[in-house]
Amino acid sequence: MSEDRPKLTRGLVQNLGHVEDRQQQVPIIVRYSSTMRVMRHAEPMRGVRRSYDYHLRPFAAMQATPEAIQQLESDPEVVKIYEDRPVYAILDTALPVVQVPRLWQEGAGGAGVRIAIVDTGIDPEHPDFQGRIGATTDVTGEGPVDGNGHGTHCAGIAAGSGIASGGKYRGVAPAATLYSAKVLRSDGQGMTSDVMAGVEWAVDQGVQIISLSLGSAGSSDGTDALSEICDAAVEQGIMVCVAAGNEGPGPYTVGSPGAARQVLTVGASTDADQIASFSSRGPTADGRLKPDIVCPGVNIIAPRAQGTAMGTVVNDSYTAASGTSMATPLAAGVCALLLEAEPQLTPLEIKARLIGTAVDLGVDAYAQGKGRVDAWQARHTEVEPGPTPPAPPPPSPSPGQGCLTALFSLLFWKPSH
Amino acid sequence: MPKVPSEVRETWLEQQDQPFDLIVHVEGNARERGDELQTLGFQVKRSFRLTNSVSLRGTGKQALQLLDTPWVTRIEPDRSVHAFRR
Repeated sequence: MSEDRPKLTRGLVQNLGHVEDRQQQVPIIVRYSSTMRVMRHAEPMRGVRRSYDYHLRPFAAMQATPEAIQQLESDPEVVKIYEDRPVYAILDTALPVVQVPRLWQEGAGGAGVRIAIVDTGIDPEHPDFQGRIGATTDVTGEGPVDGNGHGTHCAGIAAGSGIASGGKYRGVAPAATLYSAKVLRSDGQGMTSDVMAGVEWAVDQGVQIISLSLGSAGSSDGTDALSEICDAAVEQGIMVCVAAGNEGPGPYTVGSPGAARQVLTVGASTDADQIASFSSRGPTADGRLKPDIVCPGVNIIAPRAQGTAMGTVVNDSYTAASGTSMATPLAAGVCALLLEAEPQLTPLEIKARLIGTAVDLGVDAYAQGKGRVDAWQARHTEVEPGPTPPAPPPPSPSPGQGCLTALFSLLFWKPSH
Repeated sequence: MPKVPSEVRETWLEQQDQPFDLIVHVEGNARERGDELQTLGFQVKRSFRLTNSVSLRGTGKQALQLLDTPWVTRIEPDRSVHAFRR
C-alpha cells in the first residue's frame, strides 16, 4: 500500500513512476465494493480498456492510463487497485526476492552474454542447457563429466532454462551462453593452480562473467595467487563473482579468492532476507569489508547432474542445495542481465550498481556487505563507480607481520604425496 | 622482503626429500621461466600469464634453491580448494 495513494499497491505506484508517456496504458486489477458495482462500472471509460470481469470476487482486469487510474482511485466504489503482473514459473522462491522476474518482464534473459562456471563441470545432457554450452575444458584429468553435481547446479542457477521443470526452476539468465571449466574433481576438491588455469581459460574464451563457487580454508588478505589472477581477470574487463565461503558466522572467515579486491564477493541470505548462519563474514585478514553483497543461497532448487546425488534430490532433473556457492551464480546471472542491456558496463560499474542499489538488511556490514541484491534497481539505477581499489600491498608472508593468510597457509601446509 | 615465511623454509629444511606443490611467482616471461624450472628438475604443471607465475612440484631441497634464484619473487603453497556447498 502507498501512503499517499492508499488504494494503490506499492508495486503499482512504482510502476506508474516509470511511465513517461501519459497515454501509455498500464495493466491493473481493480477491486470494487461488490460484484454489482463491477457490472455497473463496466461502461466504457476514457483511457481504459477493460479485459475481464471476474464473478467469484468483485474484480475487473483492465489496461488504464495514469489519468484513468487517478479517476478510478477517486471512485468510492473502488476499494483497491493492483498492478497486473505477468506470472512466471521461477527457480525456487529466490529470484523474486532479488527482483529478477521484473527484469524478465521487461524482456531480459541474458541473451548473447557469456558466463563461465569454473567448478566441477556441467552436465551437457541436461535439458536446461540444451544448445547453450559454448565450450568446455577439464583441467582435473578426470574428463569433462560432472561427477559431483555442484557445477551443474551452479550453472542452472545462473542460466538454466528450466525446460525440464516446465519453467519452474528457471535460472536467472536463461538465454545466456555457458562456458564450463572443470577445475574440481568429483569429490568437490581441487588445487589452487587448477582453478587458476580455469580462470585463465575462461579469459581466453572471451567470457564476460566468471562465477567461482569455491575457495580455500582460512582467512585471506587477497594477495595469494588465486586472488591475484581473479583481480587480473577483472582488469581484463571480466566481471568475476566469487563465493564468500561457508565458514560463518565467525569473523575473519572470508578466504581466497573471496578476499580478492576487485571481485564481487557474495554471501548467502535466506528468502526471508536473513543472513545464512554459515555465510562467511569479514573483514578480510587485512581488515577490508567483505562480502560485498548477499544473495539468496538457502535451499535453492536447480539442475541435477546425471548420476549424482548432491544436495536434497527433488527429482531426476533437480536437486536442492545451500551455500554461498548457490548465491554466487545467482549474482552472476544478474550481472548477465545487466550486461545484456548495457554491454559497455565495466566490472567496476556493475559492481557499483549491485552494491549501490543493494537492500540494507539492517545487519552487520561484515555479514551482509552493502546488503541483498535488487536486480531491478541495479538495472535501472545509475551509480557512479567508486575509485578502483588500490593494488594490494606486497605480500607479507611472515605471520609476525599480521598476514593471517600466511598463518593459515602454515596450518594447512603439508608435503605433497 | 622474504620470498616465503621462515616457518615454511624450516619445513623445507626438515623435509628436503618430500615433494611440495608450489606456486612460484617470477619476473620475466612465465612460460620461459617454466621451461627453466623444468630444466632445474622441477615437475612444472602450468604457467600463468595473468599472474606471471608457475605451478610446479619439487622437493624441499629443490624449493630451497629457488630462494636463491633472483627472478623468483615469491613462493606460496598450491593449496587445496573446495566447492562452497553446505
